[in-house]
Amino acid sequence: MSAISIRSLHKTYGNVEVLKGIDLDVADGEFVVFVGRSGCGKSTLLRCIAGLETISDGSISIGGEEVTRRPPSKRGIAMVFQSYALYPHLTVRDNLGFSLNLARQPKAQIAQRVARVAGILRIEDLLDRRPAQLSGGQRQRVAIGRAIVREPEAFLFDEPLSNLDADLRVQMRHELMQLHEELSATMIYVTHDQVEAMTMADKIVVLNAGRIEQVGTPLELYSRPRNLFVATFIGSPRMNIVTASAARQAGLSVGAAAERIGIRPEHIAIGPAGSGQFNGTVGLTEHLGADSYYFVELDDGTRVNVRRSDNVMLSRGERVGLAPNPGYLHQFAADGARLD
Amino acid sequence: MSASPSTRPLHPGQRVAVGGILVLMTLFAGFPLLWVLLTSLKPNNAILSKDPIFLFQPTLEHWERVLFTSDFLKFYLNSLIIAAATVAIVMVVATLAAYALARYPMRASKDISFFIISQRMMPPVAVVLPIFLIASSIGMLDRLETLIAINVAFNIPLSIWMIRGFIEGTSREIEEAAVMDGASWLGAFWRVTVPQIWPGLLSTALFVYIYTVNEFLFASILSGTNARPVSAAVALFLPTGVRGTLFGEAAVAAILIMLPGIIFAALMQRHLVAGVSLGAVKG
Repeated sequence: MSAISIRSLHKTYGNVEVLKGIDLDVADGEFVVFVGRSGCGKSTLLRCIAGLETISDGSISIGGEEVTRRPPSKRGIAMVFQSYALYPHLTVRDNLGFSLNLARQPKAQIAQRVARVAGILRIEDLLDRRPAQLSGGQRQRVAIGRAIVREPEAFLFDEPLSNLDADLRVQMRHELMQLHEELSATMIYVTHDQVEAMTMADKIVVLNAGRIEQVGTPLELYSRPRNLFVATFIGSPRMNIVTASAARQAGLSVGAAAERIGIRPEHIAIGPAGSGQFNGTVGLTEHLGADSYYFVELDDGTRVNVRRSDNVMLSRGERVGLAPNPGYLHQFAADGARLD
Repeated sequence: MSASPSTRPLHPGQRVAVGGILVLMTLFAGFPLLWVLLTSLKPNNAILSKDPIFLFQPTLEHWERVLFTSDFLKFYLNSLIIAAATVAIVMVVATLAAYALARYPMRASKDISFFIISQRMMPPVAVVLPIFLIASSIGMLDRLETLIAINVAFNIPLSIWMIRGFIEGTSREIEEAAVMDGASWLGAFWRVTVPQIWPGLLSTALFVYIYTVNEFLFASILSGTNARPVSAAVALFLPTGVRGTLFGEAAVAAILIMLPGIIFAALMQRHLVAGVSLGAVKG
């Protein structure tokens, strides 16, 4: 039982409040991803859960026990750092066994647990090396191994893949997901990488300026963003936003309270000028192979991004008509909240 | 992994040139030491000869006199006690202070750091008189504790600054990882950061040792016959009206004074392995 529950958590540094009343429940065995822009407080929240930061107000429970005032090592959690934070003067074996040594476990048991973890992560051959002799991916494995060896109730990951190159990142992402399945432990993962968040998470927590904007499954967040921030933050390329008045003028059916209308690039049909509700001129284009993205400047000056998955090429300066799919319009009120 | 420029093999010509330069530098640095060693073993007539003499009948008379008939050993022991105590106290206090300044930034950190280093801006001679008066009025003249206290006070500021730099060069996340693994904050510093900055700590200790052994001003003013360290006791072998300068004895004294520092540095060399923290963080 390793559910994590956070109640009205506040964190201030001097006069600056970086976390403004966080309420969050993470179920046992869940993979939860914190996303948000730099400085939104996602890493601070993770460090508060870890116990590396004291909280100003509120409470944290792990596995049903209140741990708010407990030191990090007494919370039953392990953390993997962005910089790996391996002990440079110790071999991989001693890095893995560090926590067990501190806990004065019998030597034979330490050796056995280190060997088991090394087996899981396929780093048996590296046990006598020092961190400086390892590649980035190997260091990452050792850092994860150091977390696993403690057999914690929950794992915390602070942007663990951001120092790896693209190929390795994909590989490690898959390995982490596999690891989550094997250990079925609770995991909280901080990232600013959309793809990591969408592909790994059971549940995504979107943070903005110290507050939780929305909690939900990746698809929930994508298809029913609760407000304008989540709408434009989740999804790459981002959702197009036009004013409700422009939408009404174009003849779209839009609620009376709506101020902004959002529509994702894949939900707009592009055709010859006059064929849709909006007319515009093709500007920048991005051809990714399977898909092409066209940045169309509408006649009122708004820029709209449209995805096309066929092989028809549009050229810059071409006049086109855009027809948003009315079933996929997102309507937002003046304060940014979703309507409907 | 690619070889760095410094590990690339040299051309034969380059090897000869580099070797030649190294031999010259070794001679330049080593000759005075060799000369002191020879002087300590020469009979007086060979020492006082107008032309340099390299071949002579070696004698241990100077060593004998310094070690067994003069008070030098007592002063030497004083110096070693003062230096060892100073190094021990300074290293503990400065390391903990540096840790606090490096790892717990607070609003006054900058002011505190500046206050600490400003203690070294004042020339020591400015406080000789007040310190002498204080020591005299509390009955602490000519005592080892007084010289230890003075040397500690004068060595702490720069040591804090040096060690703070070493600590700031290490990753805080590694300490945090150790805390997550079950260490206390101070335990994490001791188990994880100190091993990384070990070479820096050793060089700071050597620096404090040399400064303390060389300290002359307070040693000469605050010590009498009892607590006198060798820096103030060199006068033992300086010229007097009757016997003249005792060059042989002075050479023996010089060797003995240099010895602990040389041994310390030789031992330390093993630990000055560069890049112990390379690869600990990031890729």
